[in-house]
Amino acid sequence: MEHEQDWSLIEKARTGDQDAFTQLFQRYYSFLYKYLLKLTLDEEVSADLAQDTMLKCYTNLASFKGEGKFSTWMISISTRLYMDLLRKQKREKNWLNQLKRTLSRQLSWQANTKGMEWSDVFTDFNQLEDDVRVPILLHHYYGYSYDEIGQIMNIRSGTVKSRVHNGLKILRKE
Amino acid sequence: MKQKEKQYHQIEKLKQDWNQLDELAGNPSLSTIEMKQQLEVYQEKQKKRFYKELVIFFATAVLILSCFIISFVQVPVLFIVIEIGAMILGPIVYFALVKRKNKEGKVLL
Repeated sequence: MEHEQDWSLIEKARTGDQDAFTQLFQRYYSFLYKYLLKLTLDEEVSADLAQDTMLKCYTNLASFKGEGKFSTWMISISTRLYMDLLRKQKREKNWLNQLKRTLSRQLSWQANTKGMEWSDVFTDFNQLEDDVRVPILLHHYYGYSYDEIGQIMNIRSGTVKSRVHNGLKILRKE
Repeated sequence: MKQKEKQYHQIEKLKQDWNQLDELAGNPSLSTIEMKQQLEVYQEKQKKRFYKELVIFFATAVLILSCFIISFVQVPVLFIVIEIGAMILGPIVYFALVKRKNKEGKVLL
C-alpha cells in the first residue's frame, strides 16, 4: 500500500509536480535525518546531508527504477554523499583521521539534560572505520539484508558480510 | 557460545543507544515552503550552470573547428597527425570515462 502511494507520487513528481515530490520527501525526511544522525553524530551535518540528498533525489528521480523501496534508494544516495563528504574532509584535513568521533556539543548537552548515558560499545563503535560502521548499522538496526546493503554501498554482499563480521569482532576485543 | 552471547549483548546495547539518538532527534520535519524554496534555488543554479556549459561547449567547438580547418588548408600533414592521434586517444578516453563511471556505481535500485 505504502509502496503504491509512493509510486503514484513518484510518477507525478517525474512529470514536474513539485508538490508531489515534497510530499514524497516529507514522508521519509525523519527516517533519513535519523539515519544520518547515527552516522555523523551531528545535527547540522545531518540536516545538510539530508538537504543534499533531497536535491540529488530530485535530479535523479528519472533513474529510479522502482525495483526496491524509495526509502532504500534514498538511503543509498545519502550513504554515498556521506562517504563523499568524509573523503573530502580527509583530503582537506589529514589530522581528522586521528580525531575521536563523538556526539556534537548540542547532542551531548541534550543527552545530559535528559539523563541519557551511552555504552562503551557505542563509543567504540563510533571509532570504527565508516565502511564498517555503515553496514553494521544498516544490518543490525535497520534490518537490511547483506544483498541490499551491497546494492546501497555498491559492493559485493560477501564483502558486506565480512565487514559486519570483522567490525563486530573488533568490538568484542575492545 | 560465550562469544555469540557477548556479541548479542553488544548489539542490544548498540540498539539501545541508537534508539536514544532517535529520541534526541525528536520528530524532525522540513516545511513544504522551505523545500520548494530549496528546489527553486537549486533549479536556478542548474539553469545557470547549463547555459555556462553550453557557451563553453560552443566556444570549444568553434576553436577546434577553426584549428582543423586552418591545419587542413595550411598544413595537411598536421591534419592527418591530429586525426590519427584522435583515433588512438578517443577510445582510451572513452574507456577511462566508462571505468570511472562504473567505479562511482549506479544508484538505480
